Amino acid sequence: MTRRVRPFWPVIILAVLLVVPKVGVHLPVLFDGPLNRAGNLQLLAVGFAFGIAALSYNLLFGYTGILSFGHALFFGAGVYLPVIALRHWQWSLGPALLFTLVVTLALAVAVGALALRTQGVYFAMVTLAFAQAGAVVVGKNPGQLTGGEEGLSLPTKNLPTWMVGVIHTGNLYWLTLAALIVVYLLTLRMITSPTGHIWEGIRENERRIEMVGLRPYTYKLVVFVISAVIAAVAGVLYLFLSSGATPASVRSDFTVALLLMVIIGGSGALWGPVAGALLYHYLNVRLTTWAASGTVSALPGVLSRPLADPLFILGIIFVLLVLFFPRGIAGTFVTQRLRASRRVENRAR
Amino acid sequence: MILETRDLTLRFGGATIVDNVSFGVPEGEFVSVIGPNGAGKTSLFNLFSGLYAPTSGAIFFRGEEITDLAPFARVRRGLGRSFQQTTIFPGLPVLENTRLAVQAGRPGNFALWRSALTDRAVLERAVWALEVVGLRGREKTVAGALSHGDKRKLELALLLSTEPDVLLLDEPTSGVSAEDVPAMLDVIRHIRDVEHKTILMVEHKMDAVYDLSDRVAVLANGALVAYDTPDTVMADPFVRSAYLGVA
Repeated sequence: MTRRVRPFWPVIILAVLLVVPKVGVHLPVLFDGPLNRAGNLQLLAVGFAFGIAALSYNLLFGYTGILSFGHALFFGAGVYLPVIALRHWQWSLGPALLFTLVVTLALAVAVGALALRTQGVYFAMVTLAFAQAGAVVVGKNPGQLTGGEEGLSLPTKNLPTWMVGVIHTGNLYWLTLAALIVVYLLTLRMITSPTGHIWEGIRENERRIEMVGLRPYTYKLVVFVISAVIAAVAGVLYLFLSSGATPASVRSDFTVALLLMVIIGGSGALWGPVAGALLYHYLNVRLTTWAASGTVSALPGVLSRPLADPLFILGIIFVLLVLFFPRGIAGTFVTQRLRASRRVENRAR
Repeated sequence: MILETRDLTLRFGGATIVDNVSFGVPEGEFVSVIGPNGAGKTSLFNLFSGLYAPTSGAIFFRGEEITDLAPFARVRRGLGRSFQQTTIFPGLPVLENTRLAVQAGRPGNFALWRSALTDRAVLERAVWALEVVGLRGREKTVAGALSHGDKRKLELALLLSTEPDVLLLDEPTSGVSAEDVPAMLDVIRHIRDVEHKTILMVEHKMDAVYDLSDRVAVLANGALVAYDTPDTVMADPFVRSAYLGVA
């Protein structure tokens, strides 16, 4: 076997991302003010957190072929559980995070064990039902625990000082970027492992997996739980970055957003969902700013009203992407493999 | 008897699909199951591999009752299965298809921290399975791009990869173009003669059945109406009228 030469561009991208908080460069149109302004760093860092969530969703949807509509439940668990422990029970950060991990694990095992007894659309519906139940509980504010529609702000007194305040946004940026890199490498390791290959087999043909002597249910439960825990990690980071929890993070809209990120980015390569997440979040935020600007409000009402909603434009972009790049950004590169195979086979025939 | 059924019956609603079938397959023998469409051949296979649960009766593998075992557990014990509708991993390369099947049959499937591709023994076995069915040189082809005949061969390779003792082949030549049928039958003959596997085959091509089988089982309306050597079965007047359509 010859050693494959690895492309070096990931290293370059990584190096650039690492120094961003130290660089005051201006990128007009793309970003307001210098790149290392707190607002810009936060925009990127939330993109990274969504990237982690998209990676977790891709494990389920892209690699194992399981369409869950309940992923927001676990992201939401990562957002709400630590803030509840920190604010209401005055716990310190370590125990609060451990508590989040344990509860998310238990929740994922319970929901997965039940929901995975169904398949396809039924599975999607069961997971949706669980997630909606979660969103309703958060909205009802039981025992003043979740803050209802208002949400909960993150209390700062039990947090290390390097995490608190706008001046430390750079630290949170690095923390989230580090988490993204770790999750990326972990995911890469998992999908190339024996278990990871079985996940792929389940996506390709679950009946055949059964008929080579494996129980699909077990492997699906494993990927469901792993994916839920990673989503919760993304939720925790999102909580720190937004200094509070809002019900939007448990709603099924967020699951749909994850689905869009994975589809836009494409699941053909692992960087696809991350790219999709960054693009989705960037557009969502920037289009909101743009919509509020004078350029849009100066237009006649027929145009300015729909354009004022970023989802309107995102929707159009999504439709165009699905039409012209049905396998997403990454998939467009990867599909070449199947095409090449077909060509070789046709020539042989 | 490596595989045995006792009073096996399957009913869906009012219809009796498999009717009180009792028979045994001796180890190492090649048994063909024939019968007109709707005779219950595939249903019988589905009962063997656990995709259907029988209404009554029992199935034994190596003397042990397997009637209530899940499909994957039966494969683990050595009961492999191919389908009338080709059942492969279409989006994966040919070699990865058999590699995954070999991996599945061995310990170490719960491993998230090591690479799946470093186990040389698994890879060698996967390549061997492709060799047996004549798909060497196609390792990198994505399975979905293979011709129909080659897909059927790949399914046989998947079956061999799990190293079963008994192979259930459901119409292995169905959909295979006429010129590819002999090659397919050669592969099956090789599996019988060289690998010494016990084989049960549902097949409509009578010359293949006659040529390969030690015994032939005839199903009609779900019931076993004859079970004997090919010569005896073909000579049976009932079989001739019920199935072969010869007066």
